Amino acid sequence: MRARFFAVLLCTFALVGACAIAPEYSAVAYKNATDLKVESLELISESTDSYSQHSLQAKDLTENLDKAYEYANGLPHNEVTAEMWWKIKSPDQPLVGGYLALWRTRGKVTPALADEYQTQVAEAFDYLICLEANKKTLSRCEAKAPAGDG
Amino acid sequence: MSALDDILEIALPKIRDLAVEFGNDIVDDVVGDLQQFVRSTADKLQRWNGLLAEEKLAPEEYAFLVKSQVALLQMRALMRAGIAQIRIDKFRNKVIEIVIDTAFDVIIPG
Repeated sequence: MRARFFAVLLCTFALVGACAIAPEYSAVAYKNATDLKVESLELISESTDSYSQHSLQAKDLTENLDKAYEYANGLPHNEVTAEMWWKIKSPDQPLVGGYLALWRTRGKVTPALADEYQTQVAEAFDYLICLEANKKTLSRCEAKAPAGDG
Repeated sequence: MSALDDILEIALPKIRDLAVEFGNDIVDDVVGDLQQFVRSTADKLQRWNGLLAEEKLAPEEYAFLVKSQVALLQMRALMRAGIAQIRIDKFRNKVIEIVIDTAFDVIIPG
């Protein structure tokens, strides 16, 4: 009787333990975040040029951001990360997608905006990269403080 | 005293300590985060106000930067929510580990 009770108890815990509620680490998702951070910052640094000169690069970046979002959105228990990707890529949000839309509308942007926006977008990606890294090992990674801060 | 009582007596203090550590970590992170973000936002706004006054930023660009700072606050909150989700999962696994280890120690002492 006692042995049966413990068997049931241990099986219950084993079953509960098997149902993870957090997303698994994905090397592909981590690479998407780091690669697209670099790609985004490179293009933003060129946004003082006319948009038409870089429209193909902007189209490539938009497609790559869409793919990264779709990948993240397809992973189990990954809703939070997918929402972060959506904010980064959406043209209605003031991150990369919104910046590309603003650049397209205005034709070109001021050097001050291009400089300041690199800091903003780097920070947005750092939050995403930090979350991806925490899926592997819990750490207190932080977005780098912008130049001149603190 | 039943075996279940023995297990609870041994496991509960360990689970309580784990829960306190878990709660403290979350509170420390959230408070530290907010302080850092407010400081960083104040510095940025001061810099952007200067750039706007010097006409190095167009008013539309200035507004866009301010909106991006709000978006960063949301991104940071999402990051914290995601990390909390991972921590809760690890906390739950630790609790299960403690209960199973304790159960084995009680059933098969030594």
